[in-house]
Amino acid sequence: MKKVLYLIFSSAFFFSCSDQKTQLEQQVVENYANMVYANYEDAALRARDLQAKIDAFVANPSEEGFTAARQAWLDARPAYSQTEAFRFYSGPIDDEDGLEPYINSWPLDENFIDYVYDPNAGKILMTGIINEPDKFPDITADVLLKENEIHGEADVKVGYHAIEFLLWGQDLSDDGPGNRSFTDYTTATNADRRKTYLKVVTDLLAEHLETLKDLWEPGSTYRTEFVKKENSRNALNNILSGIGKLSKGELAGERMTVALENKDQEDEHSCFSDNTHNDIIYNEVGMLNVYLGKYTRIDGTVIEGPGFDDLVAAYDPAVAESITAAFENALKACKEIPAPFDQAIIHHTDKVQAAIRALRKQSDEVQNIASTIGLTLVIPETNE
Amino acid sequence: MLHKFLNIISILTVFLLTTLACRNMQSDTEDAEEEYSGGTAATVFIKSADALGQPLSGLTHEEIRQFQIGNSLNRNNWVAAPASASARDGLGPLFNATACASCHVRDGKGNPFNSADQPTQSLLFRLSVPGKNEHGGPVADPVYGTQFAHQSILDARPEGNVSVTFEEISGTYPDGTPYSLRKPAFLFSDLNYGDMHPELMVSPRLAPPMAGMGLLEALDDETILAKADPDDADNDGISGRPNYVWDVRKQKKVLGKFGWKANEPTVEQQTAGAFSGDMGITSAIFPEENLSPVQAKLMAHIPNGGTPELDDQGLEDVVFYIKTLATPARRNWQEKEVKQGKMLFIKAGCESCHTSKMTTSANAEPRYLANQVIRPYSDLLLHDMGEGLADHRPDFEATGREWRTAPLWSMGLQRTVSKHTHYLHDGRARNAEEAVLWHGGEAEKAKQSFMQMNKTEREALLKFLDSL
Repeated sequence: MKKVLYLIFSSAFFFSCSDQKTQLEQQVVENYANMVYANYEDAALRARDLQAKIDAFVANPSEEGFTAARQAWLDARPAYSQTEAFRFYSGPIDDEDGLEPYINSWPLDENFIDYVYDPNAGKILMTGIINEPDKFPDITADVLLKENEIHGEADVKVGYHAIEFLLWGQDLSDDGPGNRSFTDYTTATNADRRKTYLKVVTDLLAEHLETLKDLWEPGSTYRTEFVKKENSRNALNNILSGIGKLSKGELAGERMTVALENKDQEDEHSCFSDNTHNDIIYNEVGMLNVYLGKYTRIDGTVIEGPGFDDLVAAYDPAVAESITAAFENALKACKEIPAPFDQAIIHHTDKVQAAIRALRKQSDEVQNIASTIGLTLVIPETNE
Repeated sequence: MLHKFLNIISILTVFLLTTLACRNMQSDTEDAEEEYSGGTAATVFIKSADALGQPLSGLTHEEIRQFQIGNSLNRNNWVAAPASASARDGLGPLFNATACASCHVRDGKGNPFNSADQPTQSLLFRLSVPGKNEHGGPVADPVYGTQFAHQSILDARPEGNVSVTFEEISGTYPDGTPYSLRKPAFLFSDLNYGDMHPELMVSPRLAPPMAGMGLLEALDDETILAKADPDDADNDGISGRPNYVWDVRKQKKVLGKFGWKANEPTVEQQTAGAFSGDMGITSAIFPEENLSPVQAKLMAHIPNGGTPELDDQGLEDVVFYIKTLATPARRNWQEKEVKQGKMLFIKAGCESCHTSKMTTSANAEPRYLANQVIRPYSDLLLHDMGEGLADHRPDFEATGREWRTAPLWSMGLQRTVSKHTHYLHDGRARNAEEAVLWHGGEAEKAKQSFMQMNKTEREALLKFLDSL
């Protein structure tokens, strides 16, 4: 009889515990959606700042204005880089109609945009939409989007890296970023057309980021479905899959291992500005945000709620602790890569390799999170 | 109390043992490893959209790195030269796509038609004029070459546009169920380099899935030739002819295994051919830009992305990537209806060409691919498929009515991976059923058997195909 009582008691306990966990899961998803929305809003706000600086520069080009625009681009990257933690599960950023190809894709088809240096011929080639007024009388958003689409989704003529190219120019030196002169926007050939291109791509970027923000707005169709109680297991699976894929196939694999093995100085994402090290750090910050359920906004305010650390701790506090350590270690390893990244892959390969190992370990821990909370998740070696 | 408890335990034990025994008995009478489409070493158990992009499970850390680099060159777009990303420039001047992955979606099959039902870049058009070249292969159109390029970099002009119209052909099963097939007619327009040859022959080809290619290459020629019956000596109405095609590395004709007409000998040459023909990227195997002499003259001023544009290491990496893509396991293969479908598939004679089981060579490279019992559901041989499917464009030994038996493995995952269910060389079939109904020629008899089945049986057979 005693046994039976114990059985009844324990199953009651089990159910209430499981209810608590279900509730916690739901809160993790809700909090995640809040963070995503705030993070995209921040990315859009920073893009608006960049737009203001570029508008001012285009209206009255000067050395100072050019420097200010470059700084605004650099300042815009951390918020966006953190949002990459929301990729890789066919969410609004990279579903069938996803805007990612217009925002951050790489490599850039730079000679479709503006002049480039031809190392074989040893001279500048006056190519690109900017320098072909006969083929492209008007440089408008429609023209650029059409040209971006015409060769399929993988073709890159707009987005952060197009703006970066127009602000810095090609990086032809070993030890510094590109050094485009602001006179490209005053006395150089096709300066006015270059101004127009710069303005149009910046406007587009700001619009696209706002669209993303709107897709995650409370009450929007996608978000409403995402946070529905009956979808929360699926949402958790997607969230984890996203950070696991960013960590392993994308960051450790595509963006670091491939660059390291190729030893190609410009086989890096922010190659014109030499800002790739920050892209890496803030990608990792984004993943840590998701894990901890905590995002610090650009204005310093903090969005905070239950994260995966809490959820895992509800099952096993010791496991949660070791997973947290793996995430923190990955951030530390990313920060320890000396800037610029294009030099690190040649002179500090040990540091790059340490970060790769830490990121792969982190993705193993993401699988560990999944199995702890009863999900089955396999993080592939590579992503499409 | 204790007694009762022990009783329950023993009942449970008996139940468990019985279940296990049943499973064992079952596997003795059937292909116990049937779900391992790619053999035990090269099969992955994943059924998501990522199913076709997984490496073999046994790769070393070093090999995983090579796999990642290969994936990077396969996935990312190529850009016009010169570009800062100098390892990734040299696109065009003429091309169909900017990345392998643009056509081989998530390493799977391309989607032939867009939302307006017009051809996408995943559907390419092989061109030739009557005759044979010095290696016995197709003769290029003097201006448009051997492949139509509907895209170009900024400094060049594309060859033109291509569009399609469909003709619906309705039919009825003997049991009265109606069906409809659609036959495509492709039209070239806005030609930028003058008229095409008056006797031009055109063969549309849809980008196939890439997973499993390493295993097919790992088959010994003898294994494939054992199934060949070029003169139908056994009088079963099924010939099975090998194609012999030019191997650029070996500088001689060898057995063709890849492509819709078994027109490529190796994964490496197939891949280098796609880099050249589809993207305008040169490599050691095809060092010349894919331009006709007329076009080459017009585009002589356009910078290239290196000599070659895809360097030897890069080519090796991409080929390694493709060869080490694992094959996804079967799903639902133990379901009763699926098993019945398989039986019907065999009974109808489909298996005569869609060979269910073969063993790879003991000497295959990488070593993981050796001695694998694989289930590609293809004999890799050419068969006359009848007038309905004929492209009337010979390709080495393949006649204008012959096609290589398309491997069926992973076809059921196409919906998940590539988000569509188009089949056949030009994607005309909107689903597997239509693909079966297009079969003719040597496959006419098997198709008739399918049509004679009752609805339940037809559905079971299709369910079996979906489990592949």
